[in-house]
Parts: sequence; C-alpha cells; structure tokens
Amino acid sequence: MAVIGRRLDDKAQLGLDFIVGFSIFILGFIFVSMMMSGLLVHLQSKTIDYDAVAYRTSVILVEDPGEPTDWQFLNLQFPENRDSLLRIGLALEKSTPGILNERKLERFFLQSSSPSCSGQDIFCYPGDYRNKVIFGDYPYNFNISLKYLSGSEKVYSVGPVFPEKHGYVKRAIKVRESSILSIPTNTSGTSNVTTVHIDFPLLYQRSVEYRVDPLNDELRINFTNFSEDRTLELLTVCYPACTVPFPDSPTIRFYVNDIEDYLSSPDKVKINANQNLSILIETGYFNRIGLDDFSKVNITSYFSANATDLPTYDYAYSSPNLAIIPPSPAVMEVRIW
Amino acid sequence: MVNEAAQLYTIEGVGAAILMVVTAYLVISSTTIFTPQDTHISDMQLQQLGSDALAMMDIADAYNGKSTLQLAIEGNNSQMFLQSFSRLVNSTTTAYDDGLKFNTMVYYRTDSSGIQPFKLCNNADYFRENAVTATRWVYITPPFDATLPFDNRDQVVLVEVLLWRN
Repeated sequence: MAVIGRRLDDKAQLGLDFIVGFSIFILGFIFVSMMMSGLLVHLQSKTIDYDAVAYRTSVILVEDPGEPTDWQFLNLQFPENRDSLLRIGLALEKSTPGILNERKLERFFLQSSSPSCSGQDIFCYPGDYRNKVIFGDYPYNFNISLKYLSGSEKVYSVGPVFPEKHGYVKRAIKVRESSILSIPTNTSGTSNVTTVHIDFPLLYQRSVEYRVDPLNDELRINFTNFSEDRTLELLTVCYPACTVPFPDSPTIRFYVNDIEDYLSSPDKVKINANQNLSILIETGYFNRIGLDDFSKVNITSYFSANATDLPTYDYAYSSPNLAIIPPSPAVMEVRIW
Repeated sequence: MVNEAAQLYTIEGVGAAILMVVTAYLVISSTTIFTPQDTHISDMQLQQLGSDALAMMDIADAYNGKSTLQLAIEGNNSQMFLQSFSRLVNSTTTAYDDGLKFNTMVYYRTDSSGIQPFKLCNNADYFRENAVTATRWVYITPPFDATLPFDNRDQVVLVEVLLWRN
C-alpha cells in the first residue's frame, strides 16, 4: 500500500543545503578555533600559576621562620616530630625577613635520596618539601637552590634538573654566620686548665641578626698555634652541674688542624707543636643539656701542661678574642613546574 | 518545486552559517584586546629582587655599624653601590649571570629648596626598556662626602633604583 507524503524519507537522503551550511560552519569553526589558540597562547594559566607558587614558596622560605620556629632541633627519626613540623621556613625570626638561619639552611637541603625516609633524621624527598613548603593540591616539581656570594661560594640545591619552561623567582638574602673565640696559646704560660665562660643573658641582649646565639648557632673555640706538644685530656661543661660531651650529635667535637680527634681515643686529643686545636660546640648541644637564654656555662679544658696565659676567657662581645663573622650575602632561586 | 534531485532549496541554512562565522570572527578580532597576563609577574619578580637587594645592602656587617647602602650614599661612592647591588641582583646559583641593568637616584630634602634628586649610580643608559623601580628609605648621618648636596644633619633619604633586563 502506498504511503502518501513519506516519499523523501524512504531514500535516507540528506539535503544539500544542510551539507553546504554545515560544512561552511565547521570550516569556519575550525578556522576560528585555530586563530583562537594562537591568540590565547599567552593566556595559558599554567606559567602564571607556577610563577605564583614559586613566589609563595620563596616567601615561606625567606621571610618565615617556620612552624614551629625552632624546627631545626626536631629529630625527624620520630614520626610525631615530622608531623609536628607544619611549615619549613628558614628565616631567623619573623622580624628579620631575608636573614636566614645557617642551621635551618643546612637541614633544609639535607634530604633523603629516596621517598622512603622513615626512621632517618632527614627530610623525605619530595613528600616533605611538597607538604611543608610548596603546598597546593597539584604535585608540583621543584628545584630550590642557594649560593653564597662570599667565601667559598657554597651552593646548596634540592630537586631535579628543571625544564626550559618553569615558574621562577630569585631572592637576595643573607645568612647569619657563627662566631669564633680565638685563644692564643702560651706553653710557658701559667695555666693548664682553661675555662671559657659563656653568659647567655649578656649574649641575648643584642638584636637577633647580630647576636651570638649559643642555642641556635654553633660556637667555636680555637686554641691557636701551640709551640710545644700538648694533650687535651678532659673537657667539662658546668652549668653548674658538670658533664662531659656526648658520644653522638649534638655534642662537642675536637679538631686538630681541621682533622677530627676524640677524647675517647687512647691518647686523648693530641696536639703537636705548631698545630691548632678547634673545639666545636654543635648547634643544639646546649638545648640538649637543658640550657635556656638565662643560663651561664663554663667550658673547661684540661691540658697535659701549661697552655694559656689566663685561666678564664669570656665568650662575650667585650672580649677582644671574639670574632663575629658578618652575615653572608647569598641568592636563592626557586623553580616550579 | 521539490523533486528527487539533490538541491539547495533554502538559502537560510547557508546564510545562517555564514552569519555565525562572520559574527564569531568579528567578535574575536575586533573587540577583544589580549594582554599577556604574565607580564606583571616578571615585573613583580624584578621589583621583589630589587627590594631584596636594597634591604640586604642596608644590613650592617657589624652591630651598631653602618650598612653598605649607608656608606655608599654618605660617601657618594657609586662604585661601592654598583658592585654590591649588581652582585646581589645579577648573581645566580648557576655559573651564569643575569643581565640586569640599573640606575639609582637618591631623593633628599633641603631646608632651602625642598625635595631634590641626586644621581648616585648610572650603571647603563635607559632607553625605555620595560623597567621597574625599587625604593628604600635610608637613614644617613654626617659626615657626608664634600660633593654631596645634602644638608649637614641626620636625615632619611629615598633611594630609588630603576631596574630592567637588558
């Protein structure tokens, strides 16, 4: 039976007008899309985002002391310590943006080479850096580097080689350096027992950027140029209870002409003629024995025979033997991609 | 009118398609001004670096001492400023140096003639490159270099560095 009015549908045909119109539209659409992509090339948000993240990261590192502010003393071997570290900032204090703490710096750039770092007192790479410095939901890649502009021009770096396109920011900074008390030796002097007295409240009177900070920086006591052989037989730290250095860090270390020696060795710390003895009190040692910024401490060296002119030297600003190294200029570069 | 041969029997479809394309083209090409949105980022980076460098130069090496920035201004020592500032802004952690150029003005106030500019350092000639300025207020104290036009008293001057990438 013929169906009236359904003749076109029977042959599954498409109108030429539709094909021509649709083709022109699609061609036009493709043309416009291509032009749009060229126009929008500068509007890609990724680079802007990377730059913003790089800037934010630099601000956290350079202008913030971190949370907690004395995180450099946390032993990251314990998971609860790692968890309590919320933010890694390298500044001395909030009031001194741009002036970094050397100890924080060294800890920041000391990282595990593998993501698994549980039980080690170092940062996990990249997890800890992403969670405590860079932040953000996106797993950003990063390269953070720092170079001293004075002295040996030390360079620190964390992160892989960066691609050509990345977010970038460079910051000019300074790093507070530690101090050195140099005691001239005199083997025909009067004293074989030499005490270095450190009065913490006096040291903490100065503003933080110029402070000798026994609780946050390492201290160094140098006995220079022995004219005869001597042996350091014992060293005590009295506050006023007396103790001897710990076998593990943070502790007090001994260097004879820059080579480490140990009081526990059979011949103690032996210093030959024309050599120097350097006593390094590591950062965190005074915290470890429970001292605070109101403490006073005597560090007494017992030599085998007379070694110095005076029995007591002060680790104080007024001491002519104390050298405070000026803050070192440095640059930090943060790259994010 | 309608037969079995394929035919273009309505001009409206073609007309509408052309109209849409032309409209889209006109909208995009004529009314949108595209400004690369990351320009301000590089400006901000430069400005931050300049401010950092001035701040670091204004930190004295010793307690109660004078900073490099103070000494350079008080002594009218453009070489000291140039070396110190250039080292901070041009150094990188790699072996390469950034090619940043800068000029430095000091704005001071005298009792007789108000605010006056003084050129401290001319690192390079400026030819309308894309530049930013970084400023810092610096406290200076006499004695000043004899060539300086400052009044002989403690004062605060404004250091302005014009900084650009070569």
